[in-house]
Amino acid sequence: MTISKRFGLASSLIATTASLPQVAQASTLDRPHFHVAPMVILWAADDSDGTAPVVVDFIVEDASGVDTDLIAANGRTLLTGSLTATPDAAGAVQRGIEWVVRASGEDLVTIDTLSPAAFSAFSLDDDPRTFARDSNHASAFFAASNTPFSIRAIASVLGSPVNFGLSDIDFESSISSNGIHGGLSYGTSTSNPSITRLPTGRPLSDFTGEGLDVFVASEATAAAPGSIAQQSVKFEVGYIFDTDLNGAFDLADGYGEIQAEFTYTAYVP
Amino acid sequence: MSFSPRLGLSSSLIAAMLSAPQTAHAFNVDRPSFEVPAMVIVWAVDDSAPGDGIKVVDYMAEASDGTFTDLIAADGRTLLTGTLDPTNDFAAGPDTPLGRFRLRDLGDGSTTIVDPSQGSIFTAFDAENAVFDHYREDIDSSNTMYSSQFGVASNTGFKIQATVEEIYATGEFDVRDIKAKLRTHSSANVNGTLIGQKSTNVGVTLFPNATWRHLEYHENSDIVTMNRATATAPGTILEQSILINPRYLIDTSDTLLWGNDGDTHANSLDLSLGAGEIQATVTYTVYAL
Repeated sequence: MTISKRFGLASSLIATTASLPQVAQASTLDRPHFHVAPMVILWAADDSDGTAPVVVDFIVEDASGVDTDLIAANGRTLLTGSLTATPDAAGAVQRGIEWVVRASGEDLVTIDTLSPAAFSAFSLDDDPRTFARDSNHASAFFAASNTPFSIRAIASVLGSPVNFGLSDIDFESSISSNGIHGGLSYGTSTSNPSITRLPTGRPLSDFTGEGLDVFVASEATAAAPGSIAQQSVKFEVGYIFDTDLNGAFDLADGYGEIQAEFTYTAYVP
Repeated sequence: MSFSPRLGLSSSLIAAMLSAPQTAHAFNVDRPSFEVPAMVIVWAVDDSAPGDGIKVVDYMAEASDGTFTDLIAADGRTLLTGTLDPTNDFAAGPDTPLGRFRLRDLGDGSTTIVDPSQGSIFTAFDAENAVFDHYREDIDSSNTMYSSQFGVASNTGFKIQATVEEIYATGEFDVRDIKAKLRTHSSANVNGTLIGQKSTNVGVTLFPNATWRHLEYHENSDIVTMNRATATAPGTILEQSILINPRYLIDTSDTLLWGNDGDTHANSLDLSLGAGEIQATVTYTVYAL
């Protein structure tokens, strides 16, 4: 295909020169030109139906520097260690928090706060505590590129929060250049690319408006021929729900609900 | 050449993108959602096993549909004030007699303690200067007052309603003769057990002093309204609790005789109190606000 186009160009040049006098100035020119556009490919799940793993962003920077995503679909992150899409808080499903009553290192009671079940009276002899076992939301997505790139994140509130706000959720992240995720091998054709990330601990309220760059890759992820997965690095992100950042969420943190949308946009700087 | 289709595509997209930020067209989203139910935890002793020590007997949590459910089927029984021991259950045996009276001679200032339950024998005395009234050694040992407590820890405001039922009264007593008063404590040391170090009772409103008749009449009145969580810092359930302290005083007078300082009450109980017996079950029900 590429070769035929080149011949097409050569033919047009011949046509142009055909009208020129057949004098000694005649020359034959060849001006080969190859342009490989910067590209960034993101894959995770399809936001519309949750299917995974699928490439959801194929970003190409054109000659004028404009980045264009050639895939209309929006992506949704994956559950950590799985090829399953994260729950969609914008839908009907809400994420409750598993609550636990623990004394002397033993769980006395675990409570599914979305569907609580009855339990027996329990003793206060060993000073039990009651707190959230897990108040984090962790997810992941992948990127393959032939260019340095950045990923910007913008936060917004969904729905009507009760008692809580974006400032009650902290962002954290990590990067993995190779491994196995949900049985899928990734990163075997990368070479531990240099990627810096935003320091952990920024509240989501810092990400409103223009947002913040959460990842900045100073080189391409792809270091050797391979599949998209093989040339990808994994971005793991987490949202820590803790109103006073004391490492535990318990009665002192109050009650309510908050749903946020955190949008990651990749671009070529 | 091979680039022309791309250029054509790019050109059209450039036109489309001119008015949009160059970073707005590709995105991958995360939608974290956190939901923490309102919870109220009540502790005292298990009414069916009062000798087993203090236990959490109510664990109320708000489900996603807004219903507020007690996840523990057991009923609680209050504690004796200042202890972690269960209050007496009149259903389990005879009630406690009123206690001792004292005979005071206002002429010579002498006092004779009279304990009707012991059948004390004493000598004839001068009726002219005699006063016969209830002998109160201290407020908590006074058998004219019943004082109890239970603990509440919460991450939300809550209210408590009281229901007076199973009333049994003989002689000259009826529900108008029992005065009720409430207190709360945000910090206590009960025989070495620390309670409430990570709690507050700021924001609590208590039902005015009332008789059991009032509580009967105002069956669904909120006797305690707490407009915020008790828990103020991470801690154990005991540390995040406040103590609710109901007290009942037998007093046949027409006025409420609680003292102004909240810890004492007038000691005007004498023969005019009359004779009889009265008992009731007071049920406290906790709701989240």
